[in-house]
Amino acid sequence: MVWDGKTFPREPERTIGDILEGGLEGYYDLYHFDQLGQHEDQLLNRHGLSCEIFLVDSGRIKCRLCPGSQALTWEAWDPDKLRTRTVKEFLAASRNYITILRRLLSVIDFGLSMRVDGAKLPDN
Amino acid sequence: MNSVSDYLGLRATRRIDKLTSMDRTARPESGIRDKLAENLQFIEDGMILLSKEYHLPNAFGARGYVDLLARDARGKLVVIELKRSDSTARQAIHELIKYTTLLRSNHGVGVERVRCILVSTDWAELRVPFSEYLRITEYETEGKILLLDAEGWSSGTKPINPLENPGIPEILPWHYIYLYQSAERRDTAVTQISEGLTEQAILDHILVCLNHPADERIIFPYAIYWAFSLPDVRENYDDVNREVSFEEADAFAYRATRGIHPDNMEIGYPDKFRSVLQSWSICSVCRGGRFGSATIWPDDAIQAILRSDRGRYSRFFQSVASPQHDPTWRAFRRDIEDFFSENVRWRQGVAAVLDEASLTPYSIVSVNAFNPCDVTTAMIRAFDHEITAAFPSLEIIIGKGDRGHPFSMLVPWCGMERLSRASRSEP
Repeated sequence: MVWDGKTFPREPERTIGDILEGGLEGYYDLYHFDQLGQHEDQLLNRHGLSCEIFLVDSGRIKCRLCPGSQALTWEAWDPDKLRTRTVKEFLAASRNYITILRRLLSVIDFGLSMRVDGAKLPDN
Repeated sequence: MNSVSDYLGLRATRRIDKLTSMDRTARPESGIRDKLAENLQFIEDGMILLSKEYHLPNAFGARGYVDLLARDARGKLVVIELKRSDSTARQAIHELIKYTTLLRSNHGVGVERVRCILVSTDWAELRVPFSEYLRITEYETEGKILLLDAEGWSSGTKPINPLENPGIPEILPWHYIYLYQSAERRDTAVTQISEGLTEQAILDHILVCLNHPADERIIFPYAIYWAFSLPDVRENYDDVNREVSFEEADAFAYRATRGIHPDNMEIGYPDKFRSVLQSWSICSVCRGGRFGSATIWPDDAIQAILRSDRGRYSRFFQSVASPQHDPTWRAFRRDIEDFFSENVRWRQGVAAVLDEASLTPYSIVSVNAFNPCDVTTAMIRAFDHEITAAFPSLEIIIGKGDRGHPFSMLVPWCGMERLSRASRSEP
């Protein structure tokens, strides 16, 4: 996963609400019915995140698979000219946004009676 | 699951079998073969006999004799295998495989030039393996019931309809969690739910009883986590690949559990089951339909289904395959496509990478992926735990395989270079 380095989401209500019907409440419904996948591409896009495939050889990125009009093609990746922005960089740049997002979602009742620790999900 | 028409078809076949086996004169197979050779129009119009008992030498085992070798109106070679009794019918599939292979190895005749017709008086033992054979063979193959006249001679044939592919039950991704204050109420409900599902023809179902360790914050420490698949309904749809919606599935669940009132309930899904097992323990499993055997479907396999370790609803994918074994490779690619069904970029990208790998038949491809389809939760988890593993991840390793030690030769995929035939280690 990479970040474009230029998208800085500010308001979760707008960023997510523009995509999901019902805003954050809608997110809750889709989460519970495991239906968020259909909006995943849009949500990633709104956060400047994207799923890419890089070809790595000896620990270095050699090329990137990019979508073409007819077929997918590999383009050479020059690490000196182009640098991937990582998810870590996105997280560091979006601390305020995620803090607000976390607070807004915690207000919604995730108090599932099966979990005493709220909406905590397992680490993978 | 077989449809009613299949069942009736099988019964009709058995009735014909019964009639044909009632022939007063039990003719030997060779006699029937000779009679059929003189009347190939019983099998198909326009067919010309090339040989009876056509000899196919076999350097690696018993030689073969094709009962009747013919040429059809399109000019294709037709291998006609005749079976007279239930016991000899069991060899029929083996012989078809052997003859087509020997035609290819001895005479260089490929799939496009050969047809197979299996003719038998008795299909009771043959119909299941023959139907499966039709699904996997590349050869144009058909089956026919041989009809006999009162004197036991062949009088015609009727095409046999293969059984539908029974498919594999696919547990739907929406699960139900019924919560109880007492174990007794929970245990009674397990039986009621299973019976209710069965009454609604939802035969393939799983109910897992869960207990929570003593904790005053937990009001309902006894739970039934249950899930089911809907094969009966899906078979009736025009498009069997159509997705079942939550509303459709929920309507079935509602009808199956009318009158059953848990103390509380929640909706479950694979990731939630994974999460639930961190604090709840399984005390028993109730299996229904094709999941009914604990030998075939032990507890860990049931858990894997509910976690959706494989299939389109899974969040994790980990598998290794080689294009050298085509059926496994095709299944591997299908699984990956299902897995990334909601991630277009990676679905197309992985397909392109695997296309490249296919050009090297002896390569070994390992795919390890996590696709939670929930970037919002991933952000919060990553933020809270300072981990990035909550985000989607994908790793594909493509290595050059070696027959004896497939993994010892595993090397990282080396860019766009395709392993040439000369450099490949031919087994």
